Amino acid sequence: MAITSPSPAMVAVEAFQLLFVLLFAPLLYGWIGIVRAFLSNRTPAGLLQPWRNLLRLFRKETVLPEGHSILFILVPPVFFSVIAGASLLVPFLLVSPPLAPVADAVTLVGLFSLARMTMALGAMDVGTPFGDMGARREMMVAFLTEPATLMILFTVSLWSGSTSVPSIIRSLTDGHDPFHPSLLIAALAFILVFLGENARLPIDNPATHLELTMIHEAMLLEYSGPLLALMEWGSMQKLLLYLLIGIDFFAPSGMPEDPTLLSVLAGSGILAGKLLLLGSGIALIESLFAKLRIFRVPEFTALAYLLSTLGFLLHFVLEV
Amino acid sequence: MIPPLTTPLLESLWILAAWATTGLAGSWLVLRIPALSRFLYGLLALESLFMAHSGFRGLAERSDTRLVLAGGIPGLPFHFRQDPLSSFFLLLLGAASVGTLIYTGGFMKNEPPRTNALFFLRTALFLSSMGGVFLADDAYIFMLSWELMALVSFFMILTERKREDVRRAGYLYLLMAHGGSLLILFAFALLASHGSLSGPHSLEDFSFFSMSKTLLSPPLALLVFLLAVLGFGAKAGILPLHVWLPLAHPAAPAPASALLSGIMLKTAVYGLLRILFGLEGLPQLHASFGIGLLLAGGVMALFGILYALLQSNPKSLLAYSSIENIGIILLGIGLSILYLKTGHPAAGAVALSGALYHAMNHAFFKSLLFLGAGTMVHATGETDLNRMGGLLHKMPLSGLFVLVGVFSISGLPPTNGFVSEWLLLQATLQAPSLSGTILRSAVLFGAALLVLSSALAAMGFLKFFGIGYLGQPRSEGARDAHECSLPERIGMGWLTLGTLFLGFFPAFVLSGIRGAVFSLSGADLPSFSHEFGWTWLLPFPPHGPSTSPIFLAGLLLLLALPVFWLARLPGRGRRRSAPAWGCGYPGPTERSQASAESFAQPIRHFFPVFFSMKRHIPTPDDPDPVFSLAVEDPHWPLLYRPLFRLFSLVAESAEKVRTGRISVYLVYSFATLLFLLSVLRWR
Repeated sequence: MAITSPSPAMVAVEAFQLLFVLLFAPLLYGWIGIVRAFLSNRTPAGLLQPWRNLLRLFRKETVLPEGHSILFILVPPVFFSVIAGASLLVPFLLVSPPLAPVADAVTLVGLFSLARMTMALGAMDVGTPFGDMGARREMMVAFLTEPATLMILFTVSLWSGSTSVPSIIRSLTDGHDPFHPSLLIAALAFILVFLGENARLPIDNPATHLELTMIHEAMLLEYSGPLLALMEWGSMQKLLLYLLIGIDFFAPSGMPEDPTLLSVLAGSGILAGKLLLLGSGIALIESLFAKLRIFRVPEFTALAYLLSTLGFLLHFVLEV
Repeated sequence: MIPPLTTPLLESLWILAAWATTGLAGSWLVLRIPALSRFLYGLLALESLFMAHSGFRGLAERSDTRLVLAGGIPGLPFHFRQDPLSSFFLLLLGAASVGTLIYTGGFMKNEPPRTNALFFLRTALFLSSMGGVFLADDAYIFMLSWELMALVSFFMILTERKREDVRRAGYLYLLMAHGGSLLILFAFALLASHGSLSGPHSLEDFSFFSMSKTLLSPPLALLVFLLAVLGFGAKAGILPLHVWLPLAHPAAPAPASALLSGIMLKTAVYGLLRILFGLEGLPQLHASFGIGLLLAGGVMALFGILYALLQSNPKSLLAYSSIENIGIILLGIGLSILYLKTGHPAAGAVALSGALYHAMNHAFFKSLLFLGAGTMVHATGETDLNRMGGLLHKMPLSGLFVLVGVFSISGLPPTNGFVSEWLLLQATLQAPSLSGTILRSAVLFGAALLVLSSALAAMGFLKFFGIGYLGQPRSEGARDAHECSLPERIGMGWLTLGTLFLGFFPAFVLSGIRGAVFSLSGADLPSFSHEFGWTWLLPFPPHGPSTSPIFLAGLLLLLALPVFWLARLPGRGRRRSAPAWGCGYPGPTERSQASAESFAQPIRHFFPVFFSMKRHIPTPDDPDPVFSLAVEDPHWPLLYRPLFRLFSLVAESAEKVRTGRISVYLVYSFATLLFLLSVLRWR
């Protein structure tokens, strides 16, 4: 499990992982937008629209609200780098990227809650009612999705008996009986968690302009310019990373073991295909469901938590 | 003649004596020259540092020494012993109290000399008696130290004894402490009376050594287990016996709370471990004891954090959160008993080290947070979070320290709270190796409660920091807040450094904990033999997953630096300040900010079974339309008040026999005499 001395290939893999997440995350957002527009008979804004938004934000001036503290300025870079750090640790180009041992899956979940906590602190810093409301609602969603994520992760780690992501992937790909009821339940729970954690539609409308219904956006209301760009970009990466973790847990086939150029390229081709498919799936869910009332949200996330615990239990009852 | 400090035990005993003498002499000095108090607290802190050294030495050498001193009662001299478990807790006591003691020097400086002197004396005796608990090797000296500790801490809570609520809280604490002691004493008596292998009973049976040779029948073993859990649970705040905690902490001064919650709760953990693993012994425990402790701990953790979320007094919030943390520790102990008794020593060792690690973590971050709450109260003159706010502007350094504590207690990587949570989660993940659905489901249930309560903790402490330190000031007091004094900042800084150290160097800490775990359970942790082994948490199961907090922190720092540059892209010139937007609503005031209650509102609605709520929603024609909400700990209406009513009922009916006429009393005496004589005759 130790980190070996860095070889050029390994450094290249990690750099490529980081670049992939940094560049591809806004494109995935754009792709979801295109599919949603297609499903609702609108003209899409284009694949590059999120990138255009980000670049414009980076060129704008920063307006700092009066009465902010240093925390307000520190939060976006910290949030961004925590998420970007996670992109080095999640395996997706290779089964076992060189930095993967630094953080097992429990630590990855912890990193996401670290990012969430910093964002909520930033939202509460100025003391506007909407910022406070957003932070509170974000935590209200998270207090059930975070344990649900951990329980899902425990369920998938039962085959390898280890929470390191590479060994989870290996245990799920090497010729087991492909159908496990517990994995199915866990996958269902993961979809619910995904929607809750990334502020997608039944929980939160990412395109809303109604402040009173906002969760995620309400936390960003006071940010502007590059600081806002960092927050938005970080959230896009978080969505991509959640999808990548989902792929690791539930559909890891086709991920290369050895770091040769050809296999990595083939693997990333397959990966891009999976991501486009999943992106369309998200767009479909978002087109089919209306936003839940805010009081119904805990029921939704509680369902995710119960399903994930049930998955764990099913493994003991049916599969051992 | 001074014996050389050849063993850690001797060093520890000397420090106990030094603490007590410093306390006695120092309080006399403080009374005469109050300005000296800051230096005297520094002296106590220095002695604490030596105690930490002694504990550290004991862990490093894995020494296990006993010493019998003359004294005590006839037939039972004082027995002392410092084994790795004691060393671990002495290290905790020494290292965590250093910060609190330095802080106290600054905190108490404006008090009248008499209060200051008394508090000094009590602090010193408190430390000394807690050390005595950790070093005791017979029931007599253990109970002596234990009771002294309870008594001194009672007086520490009573520092502001003029206040009615303080006296009530102190009385309740004393009641609970003594009830608990009785149960512990009973457990000792059971162990001692079944102790001697041969020969007649003697007072030597009350030494821990002969108690550990006890053979108990299964029902008796269960009884001892229950007595120990309830007896020490009264001190640790186990579920129905926790009611004193949320009352005592807001009543006590901040340094007293820090010592009570950070360290004294751990004496109960120590006592429980000592009785269960040391005296009763692992062979006599049963796996179902582990299940019971596991579930009790899990429920306690959830209950504690749910109530913490509801509090708007920062110190009550921290007190309820202590219940959560003790729950997590008990969960770990239960888990380890379960694994050890079903033949999984490696998993049991990980669970036990997770519990001990969490005890150490809690000593640091909870002391830190209590001291932080003390500075908040001192700086604003308010005790309600709803009247604080914006304190980070006024108290940047202590705010930063509290922020570290908040991240740690929320269990976020790469802090120490995450390390112990990780260990416990890894232990629960070994559930598939257990046989039987009941055992597995119990572990699963424990894991589910553990992750749920740690996610709730993040929410609770976001509230604590967000309402207290962020936003705009909500009262005059908060507007005029000031940074705390230098000793206070140094004390909190020490605890912050300790918290960070525990987070970044888990392998180092675990190498110490290993000794204690091995001496308790005979099981050892998997070791990591690699040149950078010190950077890693544990590999578990062998060559399994690991994680490296220090590496992670470095990685994040490395990434954050270019991002900071990115954030400043447009350059200094293109940054301006404007009124907060707030969606364009005009004139945002500090009253439009979230209140402490609003933060808990979703939780109150989602877990209605846990709360007994009284809500008054005024009707339209109400002459005095005031919305009011009262949430009460359900243990009061369901358990304690009926119990108290029963007591007073019994007392009142007993009152009836007291008529005040001497002839009636003579009849009573005569009847009793006859009754006793007949009993004697009949036997």
